[in-house]
Amino acid sequence: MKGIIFNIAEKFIATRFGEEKLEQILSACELETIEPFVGPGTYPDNDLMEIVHTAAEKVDLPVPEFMKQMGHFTFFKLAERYPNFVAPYSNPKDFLMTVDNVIHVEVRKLYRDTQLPVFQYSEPSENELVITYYSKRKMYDLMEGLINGVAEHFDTRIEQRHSRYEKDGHEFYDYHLIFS
Amino acid sequence: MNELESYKKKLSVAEEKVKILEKMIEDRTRELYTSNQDLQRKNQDLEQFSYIASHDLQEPLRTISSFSDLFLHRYKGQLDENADKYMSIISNSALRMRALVKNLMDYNRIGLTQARTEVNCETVVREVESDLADIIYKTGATLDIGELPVINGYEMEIRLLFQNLVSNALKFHKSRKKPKVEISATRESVCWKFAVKDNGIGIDPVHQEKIFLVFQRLHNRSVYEGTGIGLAHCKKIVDLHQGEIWVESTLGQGSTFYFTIMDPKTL
Repeated sequence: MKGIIFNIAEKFIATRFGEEKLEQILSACELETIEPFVGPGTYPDNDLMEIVHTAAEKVDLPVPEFMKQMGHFTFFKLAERYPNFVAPYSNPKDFLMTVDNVIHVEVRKLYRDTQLPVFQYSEPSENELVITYYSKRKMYDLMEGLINGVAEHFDTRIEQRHSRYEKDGHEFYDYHLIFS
Repeated sequence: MNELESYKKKLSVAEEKVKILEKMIEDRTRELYTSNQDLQRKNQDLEQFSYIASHDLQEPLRTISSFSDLFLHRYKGQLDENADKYMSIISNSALRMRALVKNLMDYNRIGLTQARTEVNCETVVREVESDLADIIYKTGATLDIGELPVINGYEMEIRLLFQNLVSNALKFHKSRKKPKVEISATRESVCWKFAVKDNGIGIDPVHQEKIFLVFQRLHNRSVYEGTGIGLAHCKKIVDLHQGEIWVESTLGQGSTFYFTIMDPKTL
């Protein structure tokens, strides 16, 4: 997992629950990484999960809810850092459709060793979008939170319907989005 | 005191982060330098290979071409009808292959010879019009040249680009219809966008990307002459100017070729 996500997680905890809480959480975590996390670095996925689980426990939130809130926060942090990817779009659907073939392409240019989720899109109607998400990391709640962040940014309501299923031995997750 | 301790700790973490990032930048720079060297070497190898391949191919081809012409000249009518026909085919094919090899060599040379200069596109297009005067006269074509800008680019290549697009527009015209070609330019935010519009036979949407590849021909050689490299030349020239080239066309209703040339001042 890239360091930028760790940095956002730290920022999320510090902003939402305070610097002291962040200190407590990081001290309580058993991390494989000793040095501080930096954006372009690559760190074990387990370290992020350790931070998330410890933090969720310390702030008394269920892990899925913590991840959703962190996803929401992550969207705004990424949009603030990379405004050029968001600014050209006036609606959430057009923006979301660029994630796989524009944003992920650019991410790969910067970070060769990155492992990004795979998205597939289908459009059942003009105000609907189905994003099929596949990633070994299965960060479904984070993705839900990210979409909530997108909705808030574009000041639009996005109803999300989810389905998890298996195909050819792989687990997929559909985000059926209805824009209104 | 606690606050001071906290700032000290933050500062020390920040310093450690800076060190890690500096090391990453150094590693990445070294990596990029190595892969850049590697790419340059591979590029030189490729240039060398294609130069040798095309250059060495010319010689035996010239021999085939000369001797088949000589054969036709000396022995035409002395053997049976098939022999004359076969020899003509050999001669024409050798000629065509020479044209292909020459075009390949030209393709390789794009961008190698000169530096960027100020190029007055209107002057260039007027010169192209004058070079194509014969085909313009024969087809009864009209060229409508709009106001074209002065750009920063490779003059010889820009000239070749217009020449290819205009001669294609003249070549692929409908039978019994006089070709009409309009050349115009509009300013976009960071580049110039040029358009070469014709009233010709048009291009089926399924072929509209394929046409920019080397040696792609959509038409039988007997109907429209050419080696099929012209638009690949155009694409390479436009790439050289950090631009894009595309076509908008409806079969039977003419085509408009668009290309952009990046204005280096805006980069």
